Formats: sequence, structure tokens, C-alpha cells
Amino acid sequence: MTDQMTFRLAWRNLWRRPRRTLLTLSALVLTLAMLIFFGNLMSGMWDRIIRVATSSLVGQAQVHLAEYRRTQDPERFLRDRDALISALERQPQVKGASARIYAPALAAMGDRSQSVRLMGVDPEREAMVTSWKDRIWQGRYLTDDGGALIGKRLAEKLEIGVDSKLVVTVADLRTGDLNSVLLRVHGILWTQNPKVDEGSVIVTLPTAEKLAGLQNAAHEVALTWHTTGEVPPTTPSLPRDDLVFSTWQELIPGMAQAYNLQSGYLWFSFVVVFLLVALSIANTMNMSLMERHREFGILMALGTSDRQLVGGIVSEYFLLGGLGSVAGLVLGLLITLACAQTGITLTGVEVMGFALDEPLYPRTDLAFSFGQALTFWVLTPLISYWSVNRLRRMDPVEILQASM
Amino acid sequence: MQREIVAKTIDVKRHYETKGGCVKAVDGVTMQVEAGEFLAIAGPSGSGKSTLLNLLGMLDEPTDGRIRLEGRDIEGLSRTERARIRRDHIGFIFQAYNLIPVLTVAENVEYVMMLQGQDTASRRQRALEVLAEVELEGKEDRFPQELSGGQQQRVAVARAIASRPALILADEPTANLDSKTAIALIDMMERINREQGTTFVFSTHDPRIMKRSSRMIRICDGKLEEEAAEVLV
Ligand SMILES: Nc1ncnc2c1ncn2[C@@H]1O[C@H](COP(=O)(O)OP(=O)(O)O)[C@@H](O)[C@H]1O
Ligand SMILES: [Mg+2]
Repeated sequence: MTDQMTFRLAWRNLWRRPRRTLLTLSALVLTLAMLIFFGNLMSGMWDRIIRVATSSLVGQAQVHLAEYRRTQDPERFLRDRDALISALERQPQVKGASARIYAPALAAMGDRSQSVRLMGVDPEREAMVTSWKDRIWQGRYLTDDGGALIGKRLAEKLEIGVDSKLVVTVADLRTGDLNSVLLRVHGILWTQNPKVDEGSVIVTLPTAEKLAGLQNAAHEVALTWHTTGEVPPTTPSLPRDDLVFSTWQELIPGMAQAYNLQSGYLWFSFVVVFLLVALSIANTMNMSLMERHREFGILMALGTSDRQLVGGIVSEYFLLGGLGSVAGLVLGLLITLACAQTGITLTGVEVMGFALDEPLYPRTDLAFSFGQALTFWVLTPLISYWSVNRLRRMDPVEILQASM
Repeated sequence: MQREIVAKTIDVKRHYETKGGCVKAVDGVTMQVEAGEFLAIAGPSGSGKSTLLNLLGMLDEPTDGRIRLEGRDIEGLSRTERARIRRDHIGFIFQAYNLIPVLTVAENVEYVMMLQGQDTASRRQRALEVLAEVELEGKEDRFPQELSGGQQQRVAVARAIASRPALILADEPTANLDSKTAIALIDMMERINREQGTTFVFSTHDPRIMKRSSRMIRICDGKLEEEAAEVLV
């Protein structure tokens, strides 16, 4: 009975009680729209967190001496740094390659001192990998003339500002002797990444080498790609086999996991919310089926099979689900787009230590949005099927008698 | 002239087990319906008329006894098979509220033909034809609730005859109508029976309606009382 009359019948039955149908429909539409918006907002949030994490420190990938990667022991630095950098920079997918030297250090200002992480970088190359140049809260970016950048929270702890002087003491990585240097603070960094903001003193490579007793060495090389997006480009070839290459997902596995977890969680909460809506659908549906009981008896008497009867009612909810899905999708995308213009400010919210102080912009994830809408469309008639299937066992005589 | 037998019951029983004991709604009825008959089943309220018609119409199954429809035993069929036989061989007219309110008059008439898989154009044509037969030309695009009770019953008659079933069962089709409209409806059914040879079985407890039948069966407490001879129209 896949006749247009089936759908005409379903359509008209759907609108027998326009108010009731509109209520059910708006519940569907609003729920779907909110879920789509919320999902897109979460995508935007994770984009932000990942971007902050990668652009504030990690980069898109890194190269280390295999042993350093495993042990994090600062004595396991890699040599021939300059040759490695130029080998990496020659590869077409590499946009930036920045060598870094790390050393545990003590920063002192008057009678206050704080253990910190000294980080030596090449200011020009580092600017290709991290966004520090744009993240200077006060002062200016690092130059080759020997100053230091410090994180905002460190500056607050030490109660210092731009142009303050800081004594940094580092143990020589070869001899163990203590080397100290007086550094002038050039700028204060605010990246929203606690690893940078809380405990980093950033200096030029020559300064770091002098303090740590190294030459043409590095602990890591951070990389960025020319392409952005989910799919990483081909792994660059490494000139030596004592080196290892790691993507940001491997470097901050907690974040990649949390990201996957949140999309799973999103689908889970989606199902929960949908089930709540489904309950109300099933409820109004039972009411409407009760009212039409006698008609079902007549239809059965006329020779409508159980399958056709159930199919007709499921068609109604197929139409309802279709209407709700399309309208909810449109509304959800409209809210997403509107919010993408203005942004949403969630002051005081922190996710994995990353503050979300700046306005958050949802990302229009079309696959996700259409997926949710489609799921709604499929689930709505499925729920009606489950609740209407009992008609299959009903006795037409009983129905006709009861409703006379 | 030996007429073809459309339906036949042999010692059919339909008992209901209730808290108050066993209700023998139909209790051993043997009867037959011949092709072209205009057969009345008469009896007071609660005598078993509806139950007997439902049994003949394959809406219900007997507790005991046999029913033959067009020479065929109809026991042990599945729900789907029974639905199919109703669709293709039987037309129903109930006391009231026969029509699907969201379908137009023509669509109501077309419904069974749609179930049978007839194409849109031919079933529409047939619907208009039978609507003319019941004097409802021009009402095809109205909705049932825009019609009077008598007109609605005529739509039900049109729907029942549209697919040319072997047997039309009408359970007190006039009970909800005033007597003038009731007589008009039964006269219309009788005319269709006479002109087209459609077989009708209808139940009633109204003596003036009984008089219109070509034959009458009286039922009381689920049992046939007597079989009256042909009543002249
Ligand atoms: N489902 C049922 N359960 C119990 N008793 C029933 C049921 N259906 C009908 N009856 C009883 O069977 C008898 C015949 O009913 P019915 O065929 O409806 O009579 P009529 O149509 O002549 O008024 C009545 O006494 C009625 O109460
Ligand atoms: Mg009755």
C-alpha cells in the first residue's frame, strides 16, 4: 500500500489536532536545535582548547631524541641542532621548525624565588610555531639581545613586571656547576596554557646554551604544518635514526582522549534527551490512538492488514519526524551561525586548566548536525512503531463493540 | 432456480466466557445466504445479530461449527489471510461512524480499492460511479462530517459496493437514522440489490425495515426461531 493515499491519510491524521501536533513538533524542533547548537559549541570549544594547546606550546608535532622523549631527562639532548632544523625546514609540509632547550631553573627576584622551567628558543623560528608574538600581555616579544619572556602567573607570583630584573640560576648539564645570569623581563606572556603561563622563563638559544653549558644542541624541535585540519600531513623524514617524531595527539594524549570522550558523551546525552522527548511523543500518541480506536476497527473490517495499519501510523510519525528534523536542523544551524557572529562568553569556566575567558565561537559541524537530525528522523517513527505495534493483536470486534 | 450459495454456517456457536458465566451469543446457527438475496436478520437487542454478522464477515471466529464462504471453508486462517478475504469478498456497513473523518467522501469510497492496489484513475472513476448510484453526485470532495447521518450511511453503502464484493453485511444500518431516512436508505439498498444483484445481509429490529427484505431470519438468544418464507416486496 505504498500509495500516495497512505501519505495523504497520514498527513491529515497528523493535523487532526493541530495544537497537539504543533506542541509535539515544537518539543522535537527545540530539542534538536539545542542539541545541534550545543554540539557545535562543544566542537568550537575543543577547537579552541586544541588550538590553544598546540599554538601555545606543543605545535602540531615534535621531534626529540628517542631517549629524551622516553625519560624527559634534560641530559639527553640532541646534537647538530642546526643541521636538523634545516633538514626539517627543507621538507614541503613543514611550515615552521623551532628548536628548544629546556632546563630546570630557579628564578629569583629580591627575596622571592620560584623554581621554573628555563626554555631557550630562536625568537624568529618560534614565532612560526607558537602564537607568543600575539600573546604578549605586557611588554614586547623576545629579541636576540638577551632578555626574557615570563608567563603571566609567574610574574604575579614573583610580583614583577616588564623591565624588572630577574636572576636565573641553572645547573650546567655537563658539569653540574651552577650558572647564574641577570635577565631583564622584556615581556609577559598570557597564553591560557598553564604550562607556559605558570612556570616558564623564555630566553634566546644562546642564553640558554650558556647557562646549561650546551652547544648546537636542543631538547626538542616543535613543528607546524602548512595544512591545518584533522588529517595530519605525511610524517617528515628524519635525518638520523636516534630521533623520534610525535604528533600533538601523542604528545598530549589526555587531550585527544578527552576530545573523543566528549563526542561520545555528547551522543550519549543526545540519546538521553531524545528518550525524554520520546516519552512525551509516546504519551500524546497514545492519546491520539485512543481517540481513533473505532476507526482502526473500521479499517480492519474493511480488510486493512495489521502491517498496513501499523505502517499507516508509523508513516504519520515519519512525517512528523521529518518535519521536526528539518525544522530543528535549520533552527539549530541558525542559532549556531548567529552565535558564530557574536561569540559566547563563559567567564570563569575552565576545561582541563584552559580558561575560556575569551568569547567562544561554535564550529558548524555539518556532519554532526545532519547526523543528529537524521537520527531524530529515524528514531521518531521507530518509537511510534514500538508503541503502536500492540495494535497488531487487537480484535476488531472488540474495538467496534467498545466504541459503539 | 438453484442459486449459488455465497455463505453458509453449519451449527455455528460463539460463546463468551465471562465472570457471570458462559454467554452464548450465537448458539448453534445453521443458515445460508444465496447470491442476490436481500436477507434480513431480525431480532431484539442482544439476540446475537451482530455476532452472527461478524462471524459471516470473518471479523470473528466461531467457538464451534463451520462457516463456508463462496464454497470454501474458512477455518484456521491467519489474521492477514482473513483481512485479505474481508477486503476482496466482503463489504461492511455499520450502524454509525463508518467513515474515516480525514478522508473525503470519494477517498472513503476508494479506500478498499486502494488496498486492493487499483490505480488512482480507475478507482476514482468507480467511486464517482457508485456515488451517483447512491445519489451523492457532487459530494465527492466533502468530508464526512459535512454530510447528514443519512448521507454518511449512503457513502458507507457506496464504499461497500464499490469493489463488488460477493457479500455485503450491514449491521443495523438504519438504527441511527430517523424513520423516513431509514426507509429511504433501505429502499436504496434494495434497489441496488434488485438492479445489480448485489447480495445483502442486514440486521434490524425495526419491523418496517424487515418488511423490505426478500427473506428474513429471526434470531433470539443466539438461536434461529423460524425461517419465514419469502416476503413479497
Ligand atoms: N465480547 C463479549 N463478551 C461477552 N458477551 C458478549 C460479548 N459480545 C457480545 N456479547 C453478548 O452476546 C449477546 C449477543 O450480542 P450481539 O451479537 O451484540 O447482539 P445484537 O447485535 O443482536 O444486539 C449479548 O448478550 C451480548 O451481551
Ligand atoms: Mg448489534
